[in-house]
Amino acid sequence: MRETIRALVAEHRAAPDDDAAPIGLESLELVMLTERLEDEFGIQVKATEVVPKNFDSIGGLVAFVQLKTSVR
Amino acid sequence: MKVFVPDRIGVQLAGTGAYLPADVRTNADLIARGCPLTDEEIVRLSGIRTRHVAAPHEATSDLATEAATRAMTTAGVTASQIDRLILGTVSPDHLTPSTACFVHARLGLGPIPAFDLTASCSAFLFALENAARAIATGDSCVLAVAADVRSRWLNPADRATSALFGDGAGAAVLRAGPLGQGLLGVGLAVDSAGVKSVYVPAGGSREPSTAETVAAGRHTIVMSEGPQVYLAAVEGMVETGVSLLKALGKTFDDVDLIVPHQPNRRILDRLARVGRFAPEKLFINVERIGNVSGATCAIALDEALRTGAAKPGMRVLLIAAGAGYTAGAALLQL
Repeated sequence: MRETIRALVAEHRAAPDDDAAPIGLESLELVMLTERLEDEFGIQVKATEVVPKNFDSIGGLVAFVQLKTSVR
Repeated sequence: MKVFVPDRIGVQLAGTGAYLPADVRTNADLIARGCPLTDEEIVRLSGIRTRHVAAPHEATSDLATEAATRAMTTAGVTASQIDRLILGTVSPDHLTPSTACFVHARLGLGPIPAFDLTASCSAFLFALENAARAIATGDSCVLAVAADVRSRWLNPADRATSALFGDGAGAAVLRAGPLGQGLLGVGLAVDSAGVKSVYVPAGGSREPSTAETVAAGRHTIVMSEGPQVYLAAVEGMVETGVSLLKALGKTFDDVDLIVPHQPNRRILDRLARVGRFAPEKLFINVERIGNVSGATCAIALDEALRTGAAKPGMRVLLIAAGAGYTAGAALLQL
């Protein structure tokens, strides 16, 4: 999952080596990443879930997708 | 969500009308004016290729008057028959008085109530709901209009908003009639979690206009949480649509045509996916006129009726969501 997420992030920005480092996606890139995460992992992201904790780092994205896929 | 279902007096859709300014701007036109996106990016991100922009001499009331006149002509009613004018807009001619007062004057209406309401991109649904309630309590003929000239509040260099909006107006004449035809039900809601999702920071009582606010560019639309707005728009439209249909004992399967608010094409694709209905049910014109804010649904409904996409006998669902967040849905039996 981590490598898949890194690859999806890399479609827009170079994914940082440090999982805690900020990715720095801009608004439109976040929209596209959200859709790619939904398609890839079969999840549905809600507006209230697009917060820095979930989307600002690779580590945050991995934890978020793990949580979403675990409660499907 | 608050649902209103006419149960004593029916609310008939007697006629619709729309007006789009003559100036059609392509993505290339916007790029020449400072839009920092490429044509390919605009199309990929929004699906929008052109939008109409009001001429310098045109204000929101001018667009609204033209759409209202066309709706009255279609409905076969004259100014003296209108009991009430409700105008939804977030881009008024002036902060005071209401834009409805200018439209009232231009249409030559009698001494009847005329007022603005503000519900951003859900404005036409809010106007319809208020019109339906007015008919339920005694009005015979109500003009519901939505009009916006968002181009006056756009920063041409803003990536998030500069290519999305267009100007225009739409209107409907609603008349009292038999139950079971016309407006079957309408529902509205606000989720104030999105109160600053799409907003104009300055120019109101919170941050009055000064030379500094103008210099800082605080009089144009700010949409700093685009991804949240994108997702919330779909959630708002699906939730209000489902809630209204449920209140009426129906589902998306019972709807022949869905006329949605059209912020951009990606949102409409997602709408069908999340709502789990066939995308072919959607009436889409966003690629030609962009997001016309509160007027979008009214313009699309008029176009659907004029082109035959919406026909007598069909059940048509209008759904919208907008800044605030506001949301609304209305089910029509044509």
